[in-house]
Amino acid sequence: MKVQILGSGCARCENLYNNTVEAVGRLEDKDLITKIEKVRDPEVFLNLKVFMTPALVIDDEVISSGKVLTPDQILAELLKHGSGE
Amino acid sequence: MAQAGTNVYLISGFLGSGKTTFLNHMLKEIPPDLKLLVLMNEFGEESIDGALVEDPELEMVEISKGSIFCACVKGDFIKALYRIAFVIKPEALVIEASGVANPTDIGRDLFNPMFKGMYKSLKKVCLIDAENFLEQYEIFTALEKQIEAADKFIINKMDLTDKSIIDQTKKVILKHNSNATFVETSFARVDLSDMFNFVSRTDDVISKKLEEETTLLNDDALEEMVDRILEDEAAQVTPPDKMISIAFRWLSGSVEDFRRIADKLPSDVIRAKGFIFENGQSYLYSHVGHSFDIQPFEGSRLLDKSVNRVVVIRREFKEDDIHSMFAEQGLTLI
Repeated sequence: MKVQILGSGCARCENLYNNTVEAVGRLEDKDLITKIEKVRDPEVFLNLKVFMTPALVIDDEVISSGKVLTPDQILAELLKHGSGE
Repeated sequence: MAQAGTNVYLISGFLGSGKTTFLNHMLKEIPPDLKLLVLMNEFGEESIDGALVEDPELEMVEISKGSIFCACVKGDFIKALYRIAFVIKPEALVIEASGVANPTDIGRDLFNPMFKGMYKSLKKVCLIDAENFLEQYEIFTALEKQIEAADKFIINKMDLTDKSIIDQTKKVILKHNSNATFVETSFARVDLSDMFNFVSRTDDVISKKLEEETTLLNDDALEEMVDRILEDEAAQVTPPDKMISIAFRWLSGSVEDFRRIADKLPSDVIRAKGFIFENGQSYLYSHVGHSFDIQPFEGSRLLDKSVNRVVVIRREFKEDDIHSMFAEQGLTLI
């Protein structure tokens, strides 16, 4: 599973990244995530139709945009994607 | 009892249309006893416009961000509005919107219930660059939004174009805003004698509200409120125009070295501006549309003269080409 944090590196982006790292740390299946990538390229934002950052993207699907999800919320999304829903 | 609440002036207009120049004219007309604050929202990681404001003692709040996507831009803006409404409490607030801002959003933010009606009036002026408008209008959606949201239009730089272009420009504006009124000028000079005649309104309602509810939100509560607003608005965000802002900073080198770069900037550059220093003299660099100039600058605000700095706003998402140009001129970027 590919996890990306889209943003320009400001406080909100860092918070989303840190919450994602925490959520990934709680996963039982450690092989599920290959990496968490920080993406700053605005071209990628536009291609994914993300118009407000930070954004959480899992396997090229935009999960959230313009807000900081909690570790619990992120974990729920990871498990949903991991189980193939 | 002193009148409560703030009258707001919103200056909008595309990149390089003359907003800061207009702001400086406006500031010269302020009644001396008026408590006024300027809020500048700039698209670019370097604050350039703040140093261009000519009144050295004017109180200003500046928000400069390098990304138009960043929720923090909006977040910082709302937090600034909160502090202005309930802590600084000026009689007048002048907002210079960024050149790519959607002024409808700003208008909506000002009347958000969280401000409890403290922003009591809003005058919206839009600067139009007569020389470049028709070309920019074809390319950038920001212009349409700016036209729709303003009351009064200042057709600026009329000395750089002719009547037929100005007529075409007005026609386009009227297509999007049938209530538009126009003034034509150069260097953003207009008659501002009625600018500070506030629309009076009963302030009892605001005063009473303030008496009843004077507890300010703490930082966490304010942050939560901002998050809620951002969440509401994220769903309504219109795709921004494709552009990025890049800042270039360097220490040594002459104005002529930079001029050779300015002369060859890639054609997708929409706007560039900055300060260059040589032998103790400051120079203001400004590129709009297809032309630029570099002029000696005598600002009244304190300027850090140790670092040359330029912000470039362009449509292509790259910077290596410009980096190479600096290297070719022997200018080392920091």
